[in-house]
Amino acid sequence: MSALLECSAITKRFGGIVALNGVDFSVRQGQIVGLVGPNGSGKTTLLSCIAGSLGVTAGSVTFAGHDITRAKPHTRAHAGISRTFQIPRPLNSFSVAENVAIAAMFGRDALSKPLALERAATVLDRVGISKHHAAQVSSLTLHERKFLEIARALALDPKLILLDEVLGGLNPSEAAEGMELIASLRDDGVSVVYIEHNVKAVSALADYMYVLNRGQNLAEGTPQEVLANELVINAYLGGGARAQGE
Amino acid sequence: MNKLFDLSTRRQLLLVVASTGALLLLAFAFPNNYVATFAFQLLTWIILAMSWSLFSGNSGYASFGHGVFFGLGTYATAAVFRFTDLPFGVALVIAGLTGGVLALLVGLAVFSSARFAGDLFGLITLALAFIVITIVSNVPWLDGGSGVFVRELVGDAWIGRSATNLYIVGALLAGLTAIVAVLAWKTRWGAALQAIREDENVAESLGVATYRHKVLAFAASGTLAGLIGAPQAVFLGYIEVHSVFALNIPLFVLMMVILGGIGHWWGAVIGAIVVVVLREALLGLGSADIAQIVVGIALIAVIIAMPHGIAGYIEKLRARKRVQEVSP
Repeated sequence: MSALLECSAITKRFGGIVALNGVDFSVRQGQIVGLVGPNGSGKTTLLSCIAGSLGVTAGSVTFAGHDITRAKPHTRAHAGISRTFQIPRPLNSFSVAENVAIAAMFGRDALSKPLALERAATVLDRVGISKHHAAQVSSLTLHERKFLEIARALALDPKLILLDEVLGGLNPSEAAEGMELIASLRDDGVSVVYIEHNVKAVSALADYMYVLNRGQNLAEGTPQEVLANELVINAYLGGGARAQGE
Repeated sequence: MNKLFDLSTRRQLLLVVASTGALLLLAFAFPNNYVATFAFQLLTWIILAMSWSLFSGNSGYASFGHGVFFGLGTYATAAVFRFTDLPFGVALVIAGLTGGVLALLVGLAVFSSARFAGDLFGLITLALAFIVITIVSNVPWLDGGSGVFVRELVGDAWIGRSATNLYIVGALLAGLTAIVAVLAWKTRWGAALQAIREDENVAESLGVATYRHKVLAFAASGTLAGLIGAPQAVFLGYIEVHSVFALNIPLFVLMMVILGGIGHWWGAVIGAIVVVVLREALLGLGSADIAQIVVGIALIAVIIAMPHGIAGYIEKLRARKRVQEVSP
């Protein structure tokens, strides 16, 4: 099976700072791929290079067989890539349903307003915040805002969804609900890239994992392989996690 | 509630067409030239405010270049009258095209780089004003530094015969501007512009082709400002760069739109009416300076009392009424 997303030798510099240095990353159809690493390791930068909000300095991004290295974010959204933001960024003057409907109106299906609102209702129901559909975004809790991010990304009808710490800051029951939702995406054939700095949380969900450190590939493999990797334990988990694991 | 998605676009367009018809009928009822002139001036400001707001109010990109498009419209009109025998209708179209094409070119260039997003855009449009002023004052066949006597060039053409004729053109252009404004607020185009205003990066990530929508709205805004420059050139009779390209124009328009509220296309209409009528009323009482001061104080008072402008305040009152009706 060929990869849905293929990033090869991605380098991203901000002035003199090298945020990503020759990173390889790929996602297969229907896979949940965990992307982990300490703070500042370049996870969100890589996600932005995939979504197109950042251009790469070198390297290439291929999606569904097309080179999208220079494509604009909205073109990538039309191609089937959608994302969430780590700190939720709702459109504040729009209602909850409108936030989601915008994605359906301008996504690859380009739905009319009434159909977009219908899809918004379906998606909000799926993520479990449909009772807030007419509410202003400002009335939502953090947990609901995070789920609104997911709802908006889903309304694009994506082939690949990029989730940036969507479960960060949630309480255990909310996080469990979120993990269930992410697993259900895979069942629908949607591929998921799931960023977390907590390796354990990701390893419970992911089919495959990448570990970044200081902007470079540190390790990759199944969650079991990655958790057992000496490099990962030394550079990232530290001795405490190793002792816990044993 | 879903103010963006209420399905009254067609009704609002009908309202605009009916209002335009009423404005045209009003032309037969003007008791004297003063009233016709005042009505034409009022329509001019309404058009300038609406056309500015449909891009800047909607997308959040404050432009200080609105006077440039208007001013070029007046100069294009003067040039058509000077070098050709073509009728006013042709001058009008060329005035609109001049404003529109310049806005289109500036939009294509400026919006192509993310570096010019936000506040820098305002500064660039300000610089544009200075560049255009300098060019127009130094091109002999446009101005050359001495101004243009449009009055003499117009001769006995229909448009120059009465203030009522100017008003009729103004009313038609106001109707056109309002139609574009309704479309720019209520359609997909409006949804895209408003998403851009809220968060441009998010809008892109949700599939909105931000570049195209911004360029199109800016070009539409410039075209409409250029169009009203045509009858204004005739009305003014004599044009010179420092009056028609004056920074007063974008500043006044900004004030009107803030006063009226950016959340609705008709906020600009209310703002323009309030400012122009207030100024005219105060001019009757005393000096122009006092009028200026009072209008300034009124603006500050409104910003404090109604942060979303008069239109936002009306919306709030309506929402409160709805809530009361639902929960007796």
